[in-house]
Amino acid sequence: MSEKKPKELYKERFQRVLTTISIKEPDRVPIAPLSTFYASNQQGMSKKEAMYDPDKFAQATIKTFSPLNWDMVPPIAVMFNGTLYDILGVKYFKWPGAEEETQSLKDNMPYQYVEGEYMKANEYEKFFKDPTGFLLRKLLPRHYKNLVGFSEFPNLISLASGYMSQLGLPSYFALPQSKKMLQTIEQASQSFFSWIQTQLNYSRDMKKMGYPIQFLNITQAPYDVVSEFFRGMKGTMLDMYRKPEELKALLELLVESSIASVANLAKMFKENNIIFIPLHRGAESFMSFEQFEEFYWPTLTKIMEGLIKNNLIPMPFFEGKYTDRFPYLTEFAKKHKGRLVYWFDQSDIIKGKEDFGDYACIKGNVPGSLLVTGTPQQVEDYVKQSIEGCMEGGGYIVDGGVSGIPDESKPENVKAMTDATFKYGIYRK
Amino acid sequence: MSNFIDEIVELNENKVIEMLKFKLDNNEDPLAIMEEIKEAMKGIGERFEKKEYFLPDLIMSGEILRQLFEMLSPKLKETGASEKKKGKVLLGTVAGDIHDIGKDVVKFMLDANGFDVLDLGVDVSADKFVDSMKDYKPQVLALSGFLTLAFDSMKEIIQKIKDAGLRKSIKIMIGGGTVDERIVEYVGADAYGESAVDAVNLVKEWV
Repeated sequence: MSEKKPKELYKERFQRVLTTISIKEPDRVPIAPLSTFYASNQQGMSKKEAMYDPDKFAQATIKTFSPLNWDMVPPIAVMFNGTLYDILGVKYFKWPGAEEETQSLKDNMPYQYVEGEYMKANEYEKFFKDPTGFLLRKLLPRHYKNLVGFSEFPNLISLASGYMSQLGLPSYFALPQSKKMLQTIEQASQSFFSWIQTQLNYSRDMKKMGYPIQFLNITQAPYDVVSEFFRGMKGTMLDMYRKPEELKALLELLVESSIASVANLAKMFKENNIIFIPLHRGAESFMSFEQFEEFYWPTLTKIMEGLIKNNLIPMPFFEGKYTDRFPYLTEFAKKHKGRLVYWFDQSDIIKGKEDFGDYACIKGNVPGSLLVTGTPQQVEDYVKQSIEGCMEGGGYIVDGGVSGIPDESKPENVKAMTDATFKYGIYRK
Repeated sequence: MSNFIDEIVELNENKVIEMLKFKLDNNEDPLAIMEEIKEAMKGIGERFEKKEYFLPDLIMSGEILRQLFEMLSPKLKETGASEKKKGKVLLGTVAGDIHDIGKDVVKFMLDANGFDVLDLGVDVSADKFVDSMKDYKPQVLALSGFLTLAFDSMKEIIQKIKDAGLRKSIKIMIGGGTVDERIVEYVGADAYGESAVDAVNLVKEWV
């Protein structure tokens, strides 16, 4: 393998993954794990440093993963940028080193989502009446402390008021809080641009070594968006009882915009069309079968269908347990054979192979507990068993369960997972 | 008139509030009403155990019960009665982790089953757990964690409990997101619970 040029390796690795996604046998089962703070932990960086020094984090990632010969390496975009978050005054996350005391965690704690009711139960009507206006004037300032200036943003219909229309925007932008907001946006764009530059450099450096990035684009299930960024978990669940029709209408409304924004970004990242969809609140422990069928699955499948129509490959990550929901997953996979990846955490992937293995590529699910506290032998045994249960006919990719490689994984276990793939995953020499 | 207990278990919010108003207007014994509500809580817990109810249903029932208690508590205070709990559980999400969904469900289910629960919140340090154990004297300690970093936090907490000479006096259960059976030995706990139902069963077994 070492004689091959990086360019060939890149093509070969990418093709190996694409072949297995299309439910055909490549030469070997691919391995393509995700990770968040594992690389920075390994290189002795604090989590704060990882979030505030993207270039150093990129280097740490390259140093940690490039020796492993994986078929795809993790994107570094899952490491959110502390500087950008400070500039915007993000309220829905807490992270290490945040300037704002209310958002700040200790230097070695990972960023974590903060539960919040960002839209009240009685605001559905206002939202539906003018979604853009509501997002701009209500939701943005509630999500981002430093964008509070948007709360006074003039109604754009004022542009149609003859002589007076010329005054609406200038008078708004003369307000002190509007100026602050413009400043925030200017700084945020600069910070974003430098962050994107780091991403591009990372992709280029990895490509030079023959490594494709696992995915460059991400979206969410509408239910999770509403639960995390609109109504909060509790609010959304109460709406399932008190305002089911409004809730469903909001979920539906998010479908087209989600597809459009992903498809738009995908034009920028033509090289890789895998779309990561981390699922949070549709798992067995979060809702019943009936609730899943009524509130979670319909709009998620619409998004996945929309992506497939745009020649993109949806890769939902089923965090938690979804084994009970396999009939839904099977039904969807049958309609889209070879066009998607189901990535699992604690679900039974061997059963998954039986149920929908002929249609959907399975990814996962070496348990986090094993990678953090187990022995290399235990990891090898687990990977062997997964490969033997899932490799037949193609359609299996090795990765960890919860979000790939947990931050505290033992390096010898990560190596054992990798070695086991090369040892047991061979279809043909 | 349909049964008050059944209507609560069925989570018919408007109906139960109306029924409670009627009961209070007719000067029904608040203690008897409280007994009915407790019976209903048991019923909700049972549905959760049977996997007929899930998180949204628990949240909704919590919302209904909150309103019922608000209406009832002034009358209950007049009676001066207090109820006897079955046992004490100390609960919290461990240091480094601020997730609370799983922890809150466990608290709800333990409450519903008549246990006294002290919830220390999230990102709770080993020292805080040890201090609270001394003050509160629980029979069971329930450690929750969603992130993989929780494994080491749990380990440290249990080590500090041992160092303080308190380990023998307490049963320790762990649960949450990435925690599983493998972690019990690693951290030195007594048991792992996959769900809030497991948590209740463990406490029942131990207390």
